[in-house]
Amino acid sequence: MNATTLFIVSPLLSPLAGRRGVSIKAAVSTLAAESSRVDSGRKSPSLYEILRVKRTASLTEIKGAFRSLAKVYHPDVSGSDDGEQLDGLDFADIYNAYETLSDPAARALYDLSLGYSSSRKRPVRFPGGYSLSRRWETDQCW
Amino acid sequence: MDEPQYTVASDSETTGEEKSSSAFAEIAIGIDIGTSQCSIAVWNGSQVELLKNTRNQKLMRSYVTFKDEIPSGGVSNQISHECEIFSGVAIFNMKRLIGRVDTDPVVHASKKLPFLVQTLDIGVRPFIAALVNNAWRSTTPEEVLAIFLVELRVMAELQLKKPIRNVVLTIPVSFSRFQLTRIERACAMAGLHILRLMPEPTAVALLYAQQQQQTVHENMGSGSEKNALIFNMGAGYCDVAVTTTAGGVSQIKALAGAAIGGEDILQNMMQYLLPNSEGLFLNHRINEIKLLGLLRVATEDAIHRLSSQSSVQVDVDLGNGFKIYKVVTREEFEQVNLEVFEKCESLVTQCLRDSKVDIEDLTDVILVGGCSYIPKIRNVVMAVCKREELYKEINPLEAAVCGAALEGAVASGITDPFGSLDLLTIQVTPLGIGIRADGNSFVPIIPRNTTIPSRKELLFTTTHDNQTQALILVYEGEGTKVEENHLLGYFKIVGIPAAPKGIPEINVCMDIDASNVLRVFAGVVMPGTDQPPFMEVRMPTIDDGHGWCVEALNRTYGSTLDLVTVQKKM
Repeated sequence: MNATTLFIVSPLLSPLAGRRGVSIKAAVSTLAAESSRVDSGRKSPSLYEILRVKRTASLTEIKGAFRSLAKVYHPDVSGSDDGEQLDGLDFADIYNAYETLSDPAARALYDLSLGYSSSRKRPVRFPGGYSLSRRWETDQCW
Repeated sequence: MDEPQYTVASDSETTGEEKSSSAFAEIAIGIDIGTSQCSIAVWNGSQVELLKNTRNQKLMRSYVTFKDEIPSGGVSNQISHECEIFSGVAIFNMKRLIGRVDTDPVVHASKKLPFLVQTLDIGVRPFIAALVNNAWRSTTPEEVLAIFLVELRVMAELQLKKPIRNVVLTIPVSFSRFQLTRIERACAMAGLHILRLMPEPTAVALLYAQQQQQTVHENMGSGSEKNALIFNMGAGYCDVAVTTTAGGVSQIKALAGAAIGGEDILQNMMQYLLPNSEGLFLNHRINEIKLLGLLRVATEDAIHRLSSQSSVQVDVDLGNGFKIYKVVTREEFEQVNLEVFEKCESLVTQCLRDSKVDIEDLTDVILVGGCSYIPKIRNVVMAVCKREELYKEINPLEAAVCGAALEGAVASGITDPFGSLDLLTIQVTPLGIGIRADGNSFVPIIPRNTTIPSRKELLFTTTHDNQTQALILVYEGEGTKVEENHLLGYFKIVGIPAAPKGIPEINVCMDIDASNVLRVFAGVVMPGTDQPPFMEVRMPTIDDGHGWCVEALNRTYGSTLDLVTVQKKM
């Protein structure tokens, strides 16, 4: 049952897999090893943390933060073609965060999901549920 | 990687952010291979410099003559008269021919050129030949381009006094990935390594980003964001881009392009000046070629003059009893090329719509390329963008190559103490990429104008009970039916567990990395079964634009290996 659920949502997890940077590894893990990824329960940073801005940041601040980070993490300037830096953050994560937070509607939904998860107890059904549902909601906006 | 590394002593002050080993590798030069003209530029340490050939030209004609035993191109070649290029001995317009099959309308339009373009109309590469000693000697667009690139490389090496290996090449937006492989092949033949292939308007966008950064000196992210629409039209292609720029970062919002350009305008006008002439040139007799050459030169001249005059007199004796004595007005010219201008308009409209940037929010409208001098083109673009004037700080014929040279410096890891290279382009995919599914439909997995690097995936399922194999046909383009798009490759997934149709789930994932390499991953995802290994296929796999591949696949397999998309479940 658990496994089946994962397969249905697996396409929605790609940003999570994309975090790994190297394409071959990541795609295979997307296809095959999603369950272990989710169960391992590494707490992923919020989109605000990725862009290194406050929850209250203005659109201008978000755009500025994105551009500053792009200049460091974009593969064209970071020098490594898979785009992965020592801190494990890659351009795709930064772009995804920017794309959500620069769209007022998507950002509102995302904020709601953050608020939801902090004000309520985490879902008890299975350990990966929290991170799954959050990913799911943000992905819908894209 | 055994290329020598060049260290620039004055650039030794670097911050911790700079990467180490490859940072001061050799600098990549920028090359703009135009359908009609070509230029080469390099970052000289403080600014972009266009290199000149021995005849002091910055813009060189893109052609290769096969008159003598050793072919020679427009970089070094000295031609006695314009008409010599059009006498059959020279191949030109290779950018319009490269990577196209003989069913392509652009190839068919090229049959009116003075050299030989022969088609069999079955979806293979056309036969191209130059007239050498009264015989048609075959060549290929890749070979012609390679010869030309070698001349450019030698010219640059002599001037820069060092070997050249890495290049940033500008390409039309509408080039398919298959065409890009042909460009790569030509570069490999010429001993050049492609660091980046840059859609032409995005190169202009990078130059614009640099200019804005230098003029404003703003704090990064301080909010003075500028949106620009860039319209580029040369002899072969028309490209449009919308870019958002701030702090030296040029973020491409949307791209649009088509294979229309000055060549189409020229052909339309030749047809107008000498009606009923189509049949005349198809036999490619020497006299006919000569006549066509004279007509071409006269028409070109008339079009150029019509940019500044409201009417021109065309007076030319083509020989063989063909004489043209005619006054052509600008209105006639615009009427004859109505379709071309309408297409330009629709590309601008489409690009603006895709970019989601409001016309009111456009800071600048930039026109570049040879056709940007045509008043009607300027009016069309200004009308769509609701503008009274255009951006003036850019040289329309040099902007693309300057942008390519900037990108070459940035991507080579060169830094500038004054921050002139503190630049970045964030690119998007110009064409959608997907597979055939739901019958004959093209199902995009990575839609056009997706920021790259990018990875996206989609689930599919079988169309037959107990279907154990599936055929993945990868296409690129915008059409809703697969026939309207470019085939990039195909492969089969085997070992799907026997199950009723609609049950097995097949995941197709597409990944475009920073070097714009496309990889397709596909495999069955089925819980509790022994899953066969996933496929990983680098695209394109087709070797030679074989249009008949699809026909052969259809004949052999019909719809037995088809897939349909899985509706997203909540």
